Amino acid sequence: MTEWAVELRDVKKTYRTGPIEVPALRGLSLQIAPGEFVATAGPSGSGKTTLLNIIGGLDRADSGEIWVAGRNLQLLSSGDLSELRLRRIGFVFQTYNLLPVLTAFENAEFTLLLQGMPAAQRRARVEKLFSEIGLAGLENRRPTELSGGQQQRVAVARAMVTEPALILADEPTANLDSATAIALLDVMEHLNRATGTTFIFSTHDPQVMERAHRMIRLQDGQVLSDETRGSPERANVGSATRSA
Amino acid sequence: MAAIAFGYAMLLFVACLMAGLRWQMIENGTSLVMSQIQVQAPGYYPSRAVQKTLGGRKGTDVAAMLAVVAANRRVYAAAPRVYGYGLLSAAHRSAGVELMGIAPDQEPKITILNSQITKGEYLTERTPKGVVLGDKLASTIGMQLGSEIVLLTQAADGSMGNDVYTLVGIFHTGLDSVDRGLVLMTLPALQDLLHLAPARIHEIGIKLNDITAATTAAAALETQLGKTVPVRARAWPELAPELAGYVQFNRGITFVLFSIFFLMAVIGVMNTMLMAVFERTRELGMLMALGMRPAQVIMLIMAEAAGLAVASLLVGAALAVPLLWYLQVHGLNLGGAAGGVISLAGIVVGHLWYGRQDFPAYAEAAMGLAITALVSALYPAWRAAHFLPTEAIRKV
Repeated sequence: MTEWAVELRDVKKTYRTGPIEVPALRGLSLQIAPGEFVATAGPSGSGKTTLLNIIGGLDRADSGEIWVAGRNLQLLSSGDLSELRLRRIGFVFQTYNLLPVLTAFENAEFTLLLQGMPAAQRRARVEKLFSEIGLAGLENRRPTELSGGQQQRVAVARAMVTEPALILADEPTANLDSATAIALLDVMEHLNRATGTTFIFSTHDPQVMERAHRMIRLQDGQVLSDETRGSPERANVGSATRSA
Repeated sequence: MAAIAFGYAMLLFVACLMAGLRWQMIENGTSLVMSQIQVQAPGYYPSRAVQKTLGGRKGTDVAAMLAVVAANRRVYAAAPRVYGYGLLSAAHRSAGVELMGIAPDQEPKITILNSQITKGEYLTERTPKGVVLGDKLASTIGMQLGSEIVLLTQAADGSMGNDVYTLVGIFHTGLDSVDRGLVLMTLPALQDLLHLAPARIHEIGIKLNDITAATTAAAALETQLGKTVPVRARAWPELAPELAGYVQFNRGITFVLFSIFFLMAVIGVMNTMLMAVFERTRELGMLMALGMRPAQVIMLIMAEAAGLAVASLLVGAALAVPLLWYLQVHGLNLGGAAGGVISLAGIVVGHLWYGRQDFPAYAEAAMGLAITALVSALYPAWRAAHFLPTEAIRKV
């Protein structure tokens, strides 16, 4: 059970607005191995974002089991989920979600601050990461002084700085132009290879899909297809199953 | 923030004005004639029998007693007094009056009647047969400065005391009972009229450094002086229960006004805190997504509420300072509406309503608003801590 970075077993999630019920995940099961670089794709409403939110413990499934880093998220309290996100999971959002009052450096070190890491260690780790992903020299700029691509790279740095086992990215290139999107994917792929961190991202963008080592297509809250391409080590060990 | 700051400024304004009115009432009520503490022989008050002097028929060493009183650290000044009642006659008219014998060099240290002289002059040792009285009495009897006056009274030994005096000064206090019924004369002159020896006085009037300590100081002085002669010391709340009642009434009104402004401030603060949290729902959701624990979210919001409260109180205080300064230095001029002099509960308060700094009330208001801000933040903080991060992030 613990050999998977992520394992979902018959996960169901339905959103309710008054009398209206909208099923988002309909008994979805899949396994993702450590170190995989996975893209999920599908039309709007297919369940991509819900899937990422549930894997990240940002939302609760109605039923099923969600195993991340060896822990069943369904059994964890809100506080334990927060702790898991803080230590083991990084998030990259479509709209960056940087804190506007903080500089790029402060945004990136924020999660380390929550972890209680000493200032010197925080500084060293953020500086190293900024240097690796081409943000050196931009440390003191606020989000409004950065381009979209730079902001998203700061968001990636914020997600990576805690050295998590898993990065979840919800349409990370949706607000970026092609060149910037490719540059960001280069950064993410480089970090995936260099650190072995598992990446799962949702996308509509064909060029992003091409870069994924494994492509999971969703439709109506179920896995439509699961395709493994040339991938780094262990990428081929993952699998997905459509529920009956 | 504006709600807390404005609410606090209003609370300071109300507290300052009401404390000022309270203070003016007490100050004017005690400083005109009464004084803040009166030391008398037991049983003298309220009958005011002429023969009931301090130390009984033998009297007491007045200078020694004054020295003991003056040595008390709470006492600002003290003065001896003698009282009597009699009939004042001048020309063809007469009136019943209260006679008050004072030491002209000591009395002005404890009361302000000397500053109310509108014609002539205050009593001095040089005019032992001089008297000073109110303008309404002078007008009623038809007296002018220099008029000869006959005073007739029952002396302490049961005989009739009478003598001729000269009107040397006329005062106007604005208080009808004083302007119409009080006659001031020197202590030796009244003792002579009442056939009292120099050692026999009815009262020592006392002014304190801090009037709020009057009751405590009176009890201490009574114990201290009682070691020599039996005495009864009364503070102004006992001497003027109507004034004490008014002060209580004033405190009640202050409490009601305070409560109204406080309630307004509380509603503002609660609204501010709720809005502050709900407007930042997305940001808080993002922080939780990054790993901030629910307890940390509550602490963050509470810390922000505390910071907001402190900053708002400082701004409120800054807004109020010039207002409070103006109230204390210049006062509110009510002359236009009230015609110059206002009398409340039998006490002249003047046409200017001065404020007075009431720091304990300011501190209570600040504490109350700060606690309100924190309590108001609890519910939104608890709500925020229980957001699902996805729901929070979705909000714009």
